[in-house]
Amino acid sequence: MLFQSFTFLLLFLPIVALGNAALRHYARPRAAQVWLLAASLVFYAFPRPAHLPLLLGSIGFNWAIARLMVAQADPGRRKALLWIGLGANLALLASFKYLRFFLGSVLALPNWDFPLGISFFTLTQVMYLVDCYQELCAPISLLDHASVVAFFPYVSSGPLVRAKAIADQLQSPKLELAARGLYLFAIGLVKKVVFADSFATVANAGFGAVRELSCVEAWVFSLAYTFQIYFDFSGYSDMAVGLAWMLGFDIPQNFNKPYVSRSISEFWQRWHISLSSFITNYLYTPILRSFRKATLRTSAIATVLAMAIAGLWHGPGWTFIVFGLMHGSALAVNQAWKKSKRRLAPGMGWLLTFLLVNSAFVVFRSPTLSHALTLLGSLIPHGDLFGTAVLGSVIPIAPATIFRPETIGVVLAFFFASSAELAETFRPTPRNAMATAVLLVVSLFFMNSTVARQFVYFAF
Amino acid sequence: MVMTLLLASSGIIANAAIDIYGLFREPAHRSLPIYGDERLAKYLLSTHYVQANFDGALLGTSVSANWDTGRMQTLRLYNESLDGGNLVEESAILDQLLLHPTLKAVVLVVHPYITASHDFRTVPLSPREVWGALGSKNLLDAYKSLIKIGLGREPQLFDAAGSETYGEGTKTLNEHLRFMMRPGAEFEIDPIALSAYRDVVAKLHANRIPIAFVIPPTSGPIFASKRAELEHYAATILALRLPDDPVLDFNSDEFEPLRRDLGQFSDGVHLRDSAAARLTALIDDHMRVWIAAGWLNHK
Repeated sequence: MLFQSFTFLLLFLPIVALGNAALRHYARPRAAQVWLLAASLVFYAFPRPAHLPLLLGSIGFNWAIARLMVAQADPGRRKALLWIGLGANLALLASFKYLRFFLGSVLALPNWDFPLGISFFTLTQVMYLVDCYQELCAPISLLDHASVVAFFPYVSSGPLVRAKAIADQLQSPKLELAARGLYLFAIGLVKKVVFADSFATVANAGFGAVRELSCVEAWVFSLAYTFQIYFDFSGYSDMAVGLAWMLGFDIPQNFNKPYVSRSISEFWQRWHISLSSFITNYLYTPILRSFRKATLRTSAIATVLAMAIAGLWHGPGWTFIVFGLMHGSALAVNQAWKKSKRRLAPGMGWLLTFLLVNSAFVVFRSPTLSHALTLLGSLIPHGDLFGTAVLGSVIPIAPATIFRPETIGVVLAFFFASSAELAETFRPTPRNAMATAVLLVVSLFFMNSTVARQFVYFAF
Repeated sequence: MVMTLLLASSGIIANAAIDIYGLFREPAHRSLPIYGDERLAKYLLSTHYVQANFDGALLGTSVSANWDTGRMQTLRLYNESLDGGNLVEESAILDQLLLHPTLKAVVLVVHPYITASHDFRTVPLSPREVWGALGSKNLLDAYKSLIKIGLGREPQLFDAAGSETYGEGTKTLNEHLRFMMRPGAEFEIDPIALSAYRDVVAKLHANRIPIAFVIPPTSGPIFASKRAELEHYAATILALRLPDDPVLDFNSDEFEPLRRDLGQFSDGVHLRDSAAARLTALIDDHMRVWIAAGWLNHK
């Protein structure tokens, strides 16, 4: 079920939110928790009921491993159980995501459907196992674990949330967050259905005709995708966080104006913050620790390796690995640059960061590396510089273009307050209620105009 | 949430009250021209409006889009022809018409363009577009068009019977038709479009709606160079008809003077508006004869 579908907005969400509020008010917190868990399972099973046992099996397995691990006094056995748990999670992920990529040319493997949210609920549970092993959190009950992992606002596409952060709120959610949550949800919905979908139309036209693009078109289409993925994924994250707030659960923001970043390390502090945090804590740090000594060189190796793995996590393809390697290399250079204490001219840091991000997203979006290289080659001025044949087929080349969602979106991404800032300053006033209503009505209007598309991140 | 519901419902009520597609109010005796996307408008108008105000429909392409079918005396036809249209699009429109199958007859244009492709050119015509008439970008575009026409900043190209105005000027034949009409090449028939043509004929027969096939005129020089291909194409399509379905062939010898007069055509394929009006009158005359011969009783 998509957040931006009428079924979700007009049926599922009102029923779940009202039921949650009523049970919190009139019954015990446990009843509301069971209600939310049931709703989450319905949400998960709605598009493909056959995948529900996989989610339930994963929940049951990880809960049991965590229990066994914590009950085990022998450190060696504890570690062995941790590795069994991690191995099983990675095997599950690999069997659906990577087996065909690595072994498809050697073995005749079945083409299994990709289960919704497998990358996210697997990582959530990897974090849980590691946190339990490191005694950062105590094992929780099966009901709590299931409630945390399957929670519908983030089960399909994140943000990645540590189990402890949600488990602690299960018995005492903050329903006063509801109005702010609705506001943030409305912002996210507009980002998705108004801006991301508009950018998607443009980007799809360009990426579908890379051999025909002029230099100007190559820039426009690559930027269109860079903005599409920002509005798509940050819009989704805003909706997810907003939904959690509406139900009384405080989960952190996942984006904070990433395109104003003046360095690549700042970018990763603003882009998909929960994934960045996972990469740092659960990939980069363990890799770095595996070296005998932390030096600039070992740190660079750990960074590149961690980002390559993170790239591969996005999907089974060389383009994703190269995307990770590009970011990893840039982060390593950035670390060395910081160490040298040299400074860049004002604006240069932003420009280099944005160019790297844009180029990496070209690779990320392209179906093959050669496709990406063709488009990246067109970004370098040569041959046809100013042709608009492909661009003109999707955007009228006219002054009125400045009023299109694509143009407004670029301005908003750079110069307007982030969703996090807007949500932080939100007060439940009549003016803000009206603003929320207008955002929702505009979204409904756009939803009624286009066929609902999958989120970009649903594929990961 | 309350404000959202109030805002959304007031917008929906306003759009339902304006109802430019005749979907939500009684459509009989209303006069609804086309605003915004031609395809979407004709699709939505074919839900109630066409059945309530016309005796039948003409399914065709730009070749027949300016035929003045609303003025016909025997049967008033709504002109469902689409610029660059194909039979898959026309089939979607027919499905809307058949939601309330009260039409007395349908005229099908036999022209190679209609089976040359099968894509929905602008909007995928599906029943969900009815919801879009309560508030959507397409509706907004239609309102913009309505206001611009009202202010005189845009010409009103379509009348309330779906017929388009081409004017009396001379035009260059468009690239697609020029390619299609190049000498010595058979017309390419898209199998999906041909299948849609077959389905359209079958659906009309199944609903007991009489059909007539009209082959539009092609100007002398083009006809001379493509005669064999045009006749072969017509034979392919007309093989779908039942023996009782009448055919009016403007490429036959009877209409040779019309085809020879290049002044009738704006580009060799499309007729000027005055010629289209005369052609429509000829169709009207033939319909009178067919009806007298019991065409409408051939169910």
